[in-house]
Amino acid sequence: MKPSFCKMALLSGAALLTLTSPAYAYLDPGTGSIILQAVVGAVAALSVGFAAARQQIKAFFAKLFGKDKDPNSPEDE
Amino acid sequence: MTAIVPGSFRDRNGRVVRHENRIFRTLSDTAYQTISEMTKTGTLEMLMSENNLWPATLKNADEVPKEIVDLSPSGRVLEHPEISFISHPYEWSFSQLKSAAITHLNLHLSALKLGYNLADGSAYNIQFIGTKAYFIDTLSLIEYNDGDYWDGYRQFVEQFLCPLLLRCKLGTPFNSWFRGELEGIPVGEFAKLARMRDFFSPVMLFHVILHAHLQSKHSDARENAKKTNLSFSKTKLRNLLLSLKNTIMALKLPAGGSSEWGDYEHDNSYTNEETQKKKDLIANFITRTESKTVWDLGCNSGLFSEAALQGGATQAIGFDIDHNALEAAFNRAKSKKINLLPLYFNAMNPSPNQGWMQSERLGFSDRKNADSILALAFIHHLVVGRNALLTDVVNWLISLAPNGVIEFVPKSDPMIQRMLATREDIFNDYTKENFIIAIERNAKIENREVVSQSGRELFFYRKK
Repeated sequence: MKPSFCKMALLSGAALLTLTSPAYAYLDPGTGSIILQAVVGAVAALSVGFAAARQQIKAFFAKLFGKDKDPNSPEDE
Repeated sequence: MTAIVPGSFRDRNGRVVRHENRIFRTLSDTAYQTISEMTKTGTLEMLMSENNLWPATLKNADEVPKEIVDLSPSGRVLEHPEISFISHPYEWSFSQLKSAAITHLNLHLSALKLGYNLADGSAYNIQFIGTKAYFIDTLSLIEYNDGDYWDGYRQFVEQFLCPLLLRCKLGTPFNSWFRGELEGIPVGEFAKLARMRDFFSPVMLFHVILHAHLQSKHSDARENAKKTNLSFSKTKLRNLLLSLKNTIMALKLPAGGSSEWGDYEHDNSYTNEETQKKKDLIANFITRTESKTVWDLGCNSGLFSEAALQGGATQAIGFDIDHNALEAAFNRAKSKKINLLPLYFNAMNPSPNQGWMQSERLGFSDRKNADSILALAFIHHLVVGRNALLTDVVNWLISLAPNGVIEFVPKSDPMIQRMLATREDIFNDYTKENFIIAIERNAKIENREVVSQSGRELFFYRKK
């Protein structure tokens, strides 16, 4: 076991106390995962923008060629 | 009888409670506030009608048995329709897990638009009714406050994304690893499998490799990331969800996945007439026994599950060890809109009771709900293929449901001859006489029909 286990436990305990709605936080989100969300959230703007543009272009051509529904549009099962 | 459902222990805001055939969810005061707000604003209604949120009705104390109300801190409870068979993510096929992931993300995106976040990212919160995925945990919906992160992001990656990528990028089915870990495939472990080319795949690079790196880098110094200077916003959270959705929608099974069973329907030991006869016999038996739920062991592409449903069953659960057969069965169920749920299943090692106190996730035998079973061209694979004793196989099958159909394939059949071509025939117990004796010990054979030229025979029985 790593020597910093107690420190970790204390810090994560302290972290839990600082959350705004402690009643809900039954899951440890993981610091690394939170940082990554910030990174992906920012980077994904590009890919999401690109995907949206592609959808629009597809939709434009689909309309042009008389297809009324794009089979690849986001869907629910 | 009132029983708290063991798998619902994690959330302090509510537990799932079964009372006879009714399913309730207790509510803490905080949960009650959120639920009543969502009910007032029509949010719950909207997510139920448009985003596959499993139905939930807020009940007053006088509408619910007293022992249930007593378990609920707020004195109010939610009631859900019962789901008759709970399946686990490690029993799903690639397409099922993918469909579950999309349902999860769609619900999250809609909830976010309405001012709510999800507290977790668990695949166990999705259940299938036939091919349709539903999000069953109403209490996962929490209020969204500006700048909030998604606490369930890592869980989502480990329970949806890593398993899907394992199959899609590396061609390895996720089921055994998922079942072993129970909480999915740990991102740190999965990242170790990354090859050079995976560094050029955005999904592998960000969600897996970088994720694992950040996780190990920050595992010691647990500074509270929420207090760091990283800014997060609703738009960023939405982008994260949308990019996950786009990525997952684009994931496809590796090409050329031919398997022993995937083409069974077009390449089997039966002629068309024989297949039709077999289907009719099965449909008639289901009608005669008035079976509602049918388990089809070794379901293959679901052809005979479909026959059972045509015979009047309302639900079929198919079990098969072959991943391509499961994909074929899922496609059949989807295209024909039938209530068939195909699941990954190794008869020699069925899902056990496991998890916390070994009761968190119920195993195969403890989820019995069938009125009839089908075991067609199945038992010789266990006896001749895996050395199981014929008597044990028959006893086990009969223990699963009150009625059933078992097909006996004689040793002279080309399929068994092929199985025996490379090994010594030690299976002296595998005879029709022994098979009949084994059935009659526990059940009454109603009728029997030879269904192929090679002498394959169906035995229809009812338990004594």
